[in-house]
Amino acid sequence: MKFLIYFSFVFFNMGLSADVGFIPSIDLSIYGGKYYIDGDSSSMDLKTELFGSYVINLDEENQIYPVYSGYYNGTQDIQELAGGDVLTRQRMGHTFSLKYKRSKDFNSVKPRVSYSINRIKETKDESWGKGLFDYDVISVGFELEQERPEATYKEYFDFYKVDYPNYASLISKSNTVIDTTTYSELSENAGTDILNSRNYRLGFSHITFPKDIVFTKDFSFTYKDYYDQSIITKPVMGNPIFKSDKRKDMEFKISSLLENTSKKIYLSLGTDLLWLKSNQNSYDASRTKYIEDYYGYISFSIYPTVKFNFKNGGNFSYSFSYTRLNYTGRYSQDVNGDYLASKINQNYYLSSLAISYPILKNIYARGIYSYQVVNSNMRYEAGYRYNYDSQSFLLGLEMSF
Amino acid sequence: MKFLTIFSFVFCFLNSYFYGAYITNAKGNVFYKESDKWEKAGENKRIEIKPNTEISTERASSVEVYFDNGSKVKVGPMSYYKFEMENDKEINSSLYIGKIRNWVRKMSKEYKVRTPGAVCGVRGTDFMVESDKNGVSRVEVYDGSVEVKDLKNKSFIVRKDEFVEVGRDGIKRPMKNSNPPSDLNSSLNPKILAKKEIYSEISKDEVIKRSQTEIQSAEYQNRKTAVDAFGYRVRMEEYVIRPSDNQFKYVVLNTRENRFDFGKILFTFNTALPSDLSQVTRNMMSYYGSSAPSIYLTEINSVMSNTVDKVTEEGTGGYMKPDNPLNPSVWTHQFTDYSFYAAGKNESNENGGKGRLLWSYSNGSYSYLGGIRPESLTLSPEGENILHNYSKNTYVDGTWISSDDYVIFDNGKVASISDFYLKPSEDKDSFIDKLNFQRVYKSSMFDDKIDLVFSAKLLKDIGILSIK
Repeated sequence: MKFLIYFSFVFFNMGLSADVGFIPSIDLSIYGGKYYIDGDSSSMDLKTELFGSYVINLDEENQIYPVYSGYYNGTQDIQELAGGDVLTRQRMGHTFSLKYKRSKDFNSVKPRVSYSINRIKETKDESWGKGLFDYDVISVGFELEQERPEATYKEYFDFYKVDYPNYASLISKSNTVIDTTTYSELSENAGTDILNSRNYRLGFSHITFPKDIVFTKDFSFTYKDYYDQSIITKPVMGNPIFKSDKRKDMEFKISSLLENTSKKIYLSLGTDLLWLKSNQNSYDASRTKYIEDYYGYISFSIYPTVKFNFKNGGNFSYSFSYTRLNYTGRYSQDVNGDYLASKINQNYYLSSLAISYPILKNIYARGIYSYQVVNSNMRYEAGYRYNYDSQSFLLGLEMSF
Repeated sequence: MKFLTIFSFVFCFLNSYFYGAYITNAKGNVFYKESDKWEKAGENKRIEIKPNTEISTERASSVEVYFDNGSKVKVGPMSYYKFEMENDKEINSSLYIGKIRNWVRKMSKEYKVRTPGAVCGVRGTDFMVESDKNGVSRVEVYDGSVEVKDLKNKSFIVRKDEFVEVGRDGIKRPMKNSNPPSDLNSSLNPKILAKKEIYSEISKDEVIKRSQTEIQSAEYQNRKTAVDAFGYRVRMEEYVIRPSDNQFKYVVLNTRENRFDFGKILFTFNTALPSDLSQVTRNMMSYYGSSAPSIYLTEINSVMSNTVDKVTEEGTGGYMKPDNPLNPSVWTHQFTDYSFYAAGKNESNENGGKGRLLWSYSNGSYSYLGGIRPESLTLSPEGENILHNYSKNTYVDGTWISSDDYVIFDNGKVASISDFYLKPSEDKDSFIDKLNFQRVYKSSMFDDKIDLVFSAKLLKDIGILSIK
């Protein structure tokens, strides 16, 4: 936070210099829409996003990018994991980031820092700032970029710390309210801030330009340290239910994106392959079932897009995505919740149609319709839906300056 | 005279020769052509170039051209430029496609740049010329002024901080330029470059947001959070502990805004339990076989509390009763003794801390608080189809206790029979397996209700919960 204040100070002082140039940039979208899951609908609500920046060109080689991005979603996003079955989820978030870019002879160095607050209301007793899943993120990182005739190379590192201010383990809250024997049985090694994490992301991008195509390949590795979430063990007499070891996740991601550069018809094809490896386990107390490697999964996505750009600046696009997700340790269950030998898999099919039409300079009317089908071999859906259809439509305005 | 002629000739020759420009600071792939052959310009090399030399740059490539009078032009990425000539009066060059930035020495020669659609003429300034594949030229002036002419000789003076565009239909009026000067270090224009950097920031934020959504989703999948029958967020944590080799303890913790409820049940068996408890719990209530199960439940102690008020149930003398003693096929669990206690603040010391004994069962006979069977009321407040049951016992001394039982989805919706297709062998009790169970105790002894949500399969398996 101190760093942000310092950066802001430098930024405002620089603004006084006569030779400093500015590039203001604002993108605002306001939609109204509805979300349906298996025929049940949410009420009509707002979805807005705002990105604003005032790029400061200190000189031809040095720029500062202060960026604000904010959103409010009164209706669910189609891609939001709908399985929690909450139709009235409202989210808002504000992110302030500051990036400095120094470039010379097609090489750039870009250190950055950002702070983000995200607020979520899901139930009638939650008010803004008191949501169970509210979270704050502070992030610092840097990116190196080399533009070369044959390709562009990027290397990046980001550290981000995620804090859930309203979420603490219930064991940590039960100290004075349950009997001391039970508390001591439960609490050995148990953590408090179990969703908080420190994350380290390292990545590399390689972008080539064969013919009229842009081909981006990206590899990233993220190490996630849930520093207060203890490892769950199988209940054994005399042993605590938590180990002293903490949860660590490792995420490997390989992405590719092929795009053409035609201004009339934009075509793209993206793929993602992701492997999440976690040392955390789970214990289903109601069915007395211990599950190792509860969080690990491998997922693959493919997503083609076609967009027709009209002469008047409007466009029409269709995009499709398919994602297959296979949990590596989590068992599927039948409709009654009895565990099966197979591991859970899920298929996500998402289609979206969007049309955009200019109504004034820099202002577009836009409509988006999305339809998603999700299916799985998991049939036990008491707490979470694994098989459903969802749809959303949004109508609104987009402004870009 | 002869000497003068020779001198003039040599002077003119040298004059035109020394007006030759040179290129330097080549980055990336830069090629130049003086005659018919393209040659690659080496990095950091100074290469003299003759009039009519063509220069071509690829992506992420640039080169600088220096003129005799100290003026300079930088040729940006993906450009095709031609240095035409320089003499004592003027410097002429052409840009066919791409971008060049010009630093023209003041009070010097006339400096002209042609594009397919425009001609720029200056004496001392800093300006950029761009020509795209559609034949549109753009001139941005950072210092001084530039006269820009289209092919029909229509012209405008473009001043500092202005730009002008010349399209196929001719020149437009100069306008205010919001682009900062660029050192042509990228193939993209500064505005697009700025947007790219902004979106890269936003996409980093999106990656984090996505991973947090996944974490939150896992909490739902793990059934650690739900909405209760009244629309309030309830968090549940359930644990199983092994206090000794023939026991396990089930603990459920609930929090809502400003309240904490918990439940715990200690199960005691006749012998040591296997490490996979599910082998035992699935047969606790009934067991199919000709001989009795080797492991069976002997005692149970259950407490539900809001941290002040509590309900305690205690069963002892557990055994498995055969359906037919001579030829058994099904064994059903029973306790010889069972007791039900409740306590508010005032009753918390009674019966060794268990509270007031409301009813008990011992070897087939019941006894009740006050000696008389309580007045019982049982209702389905929302109709037979909705899985919400209410029951109330009022004892002879006026003490009463009630329970509301709800079978609920995680979103708080109270289940109805029509939500499920029941197989012929299934009854309403099978709903308990699938969903959450919410029990709300109220009593004349309590200060507050006890309100507990839990996944109730285990409790149904041992017969504590049942919905009729």
